Amino acid sequence: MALLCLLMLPAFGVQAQQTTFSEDEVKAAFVLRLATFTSWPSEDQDEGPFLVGVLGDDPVGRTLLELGPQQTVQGRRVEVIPMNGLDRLDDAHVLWVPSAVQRNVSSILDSIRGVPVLTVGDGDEFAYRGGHIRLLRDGNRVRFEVNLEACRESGLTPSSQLLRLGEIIHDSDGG
Amino acid sequence: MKRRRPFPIAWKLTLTILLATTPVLLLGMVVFAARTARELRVDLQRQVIRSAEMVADYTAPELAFGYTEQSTETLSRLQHDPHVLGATLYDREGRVFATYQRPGAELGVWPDPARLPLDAEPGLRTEWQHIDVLTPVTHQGDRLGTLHVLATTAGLQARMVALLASLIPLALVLALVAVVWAVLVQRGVSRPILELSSAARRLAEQGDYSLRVPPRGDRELVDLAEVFNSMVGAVEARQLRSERAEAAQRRTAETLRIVGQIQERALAGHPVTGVASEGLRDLVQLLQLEAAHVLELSDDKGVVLASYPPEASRVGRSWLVPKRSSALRELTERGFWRASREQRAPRFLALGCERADGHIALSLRAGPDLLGVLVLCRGSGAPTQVLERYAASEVAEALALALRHGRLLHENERHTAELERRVAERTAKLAAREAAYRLVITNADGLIVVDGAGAILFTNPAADELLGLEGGEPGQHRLEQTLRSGEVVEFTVTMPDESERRLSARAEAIDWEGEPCVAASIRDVTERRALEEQLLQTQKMAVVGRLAGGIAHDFNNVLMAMMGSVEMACNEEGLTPGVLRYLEGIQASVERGSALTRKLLNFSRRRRADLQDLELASFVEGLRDLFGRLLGEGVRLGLELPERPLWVRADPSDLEQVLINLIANARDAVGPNGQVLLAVELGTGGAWGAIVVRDDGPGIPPEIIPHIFEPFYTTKGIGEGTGLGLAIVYGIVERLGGTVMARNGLDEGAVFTITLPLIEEPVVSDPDIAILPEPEEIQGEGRTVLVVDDDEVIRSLIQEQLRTVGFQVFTAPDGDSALELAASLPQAPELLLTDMRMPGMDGMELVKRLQERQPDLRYLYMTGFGDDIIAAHGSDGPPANLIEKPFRLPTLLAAMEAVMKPPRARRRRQARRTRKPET
Repeated sequence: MALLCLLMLPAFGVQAQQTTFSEDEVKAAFVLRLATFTSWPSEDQDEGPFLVGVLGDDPVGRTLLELGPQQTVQGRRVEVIPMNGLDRLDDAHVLWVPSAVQRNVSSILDSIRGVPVLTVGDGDEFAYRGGHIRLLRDGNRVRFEVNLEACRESGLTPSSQLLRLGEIIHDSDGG
Repeated sequence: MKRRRPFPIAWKLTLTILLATTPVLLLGMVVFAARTARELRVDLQRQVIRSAEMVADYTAPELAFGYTEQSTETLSRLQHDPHVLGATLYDREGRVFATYQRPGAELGVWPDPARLPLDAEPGLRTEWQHIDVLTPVTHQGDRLGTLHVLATTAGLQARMVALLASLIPLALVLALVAVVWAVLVQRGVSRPILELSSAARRLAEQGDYSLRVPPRGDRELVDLAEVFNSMVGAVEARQLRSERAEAAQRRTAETLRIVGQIQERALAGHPVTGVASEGLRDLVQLLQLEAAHVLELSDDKGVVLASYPPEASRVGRSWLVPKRSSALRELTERGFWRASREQRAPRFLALGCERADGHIALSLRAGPDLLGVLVLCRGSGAPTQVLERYAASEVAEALALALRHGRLLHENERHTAELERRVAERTAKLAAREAAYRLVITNADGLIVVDGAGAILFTNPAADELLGLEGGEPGQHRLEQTLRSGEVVEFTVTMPDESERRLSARAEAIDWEGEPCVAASIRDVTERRALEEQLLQTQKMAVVGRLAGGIAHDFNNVLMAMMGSVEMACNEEGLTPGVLRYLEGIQASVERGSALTRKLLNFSRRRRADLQDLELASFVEGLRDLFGRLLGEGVRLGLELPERPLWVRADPSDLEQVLINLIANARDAVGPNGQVLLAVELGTGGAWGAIVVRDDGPGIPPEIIPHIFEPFYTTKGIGEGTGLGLAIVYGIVERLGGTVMARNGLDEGAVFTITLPLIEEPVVSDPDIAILPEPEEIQGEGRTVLVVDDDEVIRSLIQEQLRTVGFQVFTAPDGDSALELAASLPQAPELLLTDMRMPGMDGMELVKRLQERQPDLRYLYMTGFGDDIIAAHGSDGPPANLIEKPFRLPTLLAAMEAVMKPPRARRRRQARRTRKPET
């Protein structure tokens, strides 16, 4: 039920945040939704579950762990895996990198460099640091920044529709 | 019921072509338009769908991430599609996520919840003005929402209108082309047909079988025309044959009709000449002959019975018919002779043969008897046809029958007529006799049969009328008068109206139905007796009048002598006054005597009347004062005058005298306070004017009425009247052609009625005024006068009187001595003064004899006898050259002067001077 409400969130946009949903819930829904607008390399198209890795312990991660398994992405069952180290990061298709782990972000990203794992985080300059997509709060709504270069390095292709909505940033842009 | 005439083929053809082309044209146009509309619509739909799909694709992530602003922006891109009016993006739950409305588009409430039900399936909905497109917004098979795009079809409609605007003129042009084409095709096909049909119609209406149709048009039409022409040819040939046959039949029928008519009329007894004439006329008309004749032959003669045309009878006269029986018989067996006008020589015409000039002779036979010959003049030598011969022989046979029948009929009729004539003669004789008897009995005098007891057994109508019997049975009436056989009796019967009738009866004894009776013829003698009485009265009056006239004449001579003598004596000188007074007494007595004789003459018509046209009413009215004075104070006079004028011719002084006498009588009858009524009225029958004098006196004793007009018959006492008054009335009225009647009134008093014949109202003319010369101025101056009178006294008296005024006077006692005297005189007398009546030669004779010798002899008659005036001048001629005795010297001198003066001084009325003014 909660998932259902979460999935309805985008439809209500700003109003959702004002009335029903918390920022964390919306971010969790965005993680899964962003995955739907991203293409993975074709060799990765196996029949297994769509794996969402969660680093650290934050409200968004918890929401994902709670609601993720009831969702499907690109026709595959979603499985949310808590990641405690860096060694299994490349198993996941999507990796949630909360701001709590911001200080380790470089090592995290380096560990999966060139591996098609979509990294979504909400830490400052996450995208500038090589993360793929950063979720950020802009007033009453949640926006996202896409580092297209990083995406391409990882062999991921965000859809043009996604790119039209998000803000595209480059590594050099960050300060 | 009248059948509706079918439409012409031309119309049908045109209609068919139009019916065939127009739907195709219309269908094509409609299909084209529909297809175009459909394609346009599909194009439009595709375009809209494309736009919708594109926008839906764009909006998928916006829906997914809830980016409403971006979605709105995305939707606004639809403005590039001109058809899109608006769009609405719904989320998964059907809630509105974003909307777009084209600026200026009037969509009302937008998004319109009514336009899109929540459960609407994605797809396309097309309405008349709008297209609704519902496009699902999906991402990776996940339905994120629905996009509704509303597009207008206005552009589509505009294009359709433009298309139709270009299509309709095209359609019209095409329709026109179709019509023209249809007309052209129709014309090409129907024109030859119409020609054919009009030819057929003319054929039917005019029967002109020589008509042909020119073959033209398409092959089938040419075939049709040729077939038509050959058919008409065949019909023409058949028609000709039929007409010939009909003519032959008609001629045969006509022949039979002629024959039948001849026989019928002959048997009906029409005169054979008329029958033959009519038969010939019909035959001539039928065979178109020049003429035809029927010659009738009997035993001893031959005559032309009938000819046609009638003027051809002149030709007929030239037919030579033998007169003698033997020659006739001989000739008629073979033929007969004919003399034509052109060729003097007679020609023999054999029976039954045709001559070169076309004459045919046919015998008319009854059995072996040849009754006549029928001659037909054909005018051409062409051989006869069977039908002509047939007709001629049939008619000849009928004519023969008619001749025979006529002959028999004639015989029969002659016998019948003879019989009828005899019977009629007898009958007429008997009827005339019967009628005569009846007439005699009816119009004879009255015939009655009376039995011995006086009962009337029989009367004829005249007797009924005479006896005043009205119907009744025999024996019902009785005759009072006894009749004896052989006697004539007169008796009086009283009629039913109380009038009396005098009858005369001559009786004979007869045997009436076995009984001895008396038959009498009776006759009305009432009128005869009355006439006899009247005649007697008239004769008596005439005798009295003549007697009175004679006395008056002689008395006049006496008075004349006395008057002259006294006049002369008075002129003597030395007379004492006493003697002069005696002489004047004598003169007055002579005057009275003269007046008396004048009255006598008036009664006895011995005086001439001065007739004038008088209007009775005004005449009587003019005398009213005179009558008033006559009647005196006490007696009232009433006048009743008619409204219309009644004109009579009378002597006014005579009529005045009549009225004075009657009124004087009335005055004496009524006494001091009586009343006299004088009425003028229209008499019975309207041709008479009546003057009625009625008094209220005691009336006239009935016994004196018959004598009342006799002279000297007076009821008055001595000295009251002369007894001449009513006699004078009678004489005057009688002379005027009127009647006078005396009777007693119904109540009392006497009524005298004078009737005078009325005349036409005269044209008013100027009265003739007599200019009398003054006697004193007349002098003899030595002129010679021959006086002839048988009365010695008068003769010498006149001689002496004339001498005193200077005339030279010769006298003679009679005509002969006068003639002698006149002859012996050296100078012819200027005036002859002669008595009218003398012994021997009378005055008129004397004048005549003297005038033989002396044509310019002036003469003057003297007379004392009024008849002489009438004898000399007629009843009302001008009384010239006459003087009435007795006269005085001045009167004589005036008369002489009038005669002796030149004609200018002659006056028609000079004789008036001889009348005394008091009469």
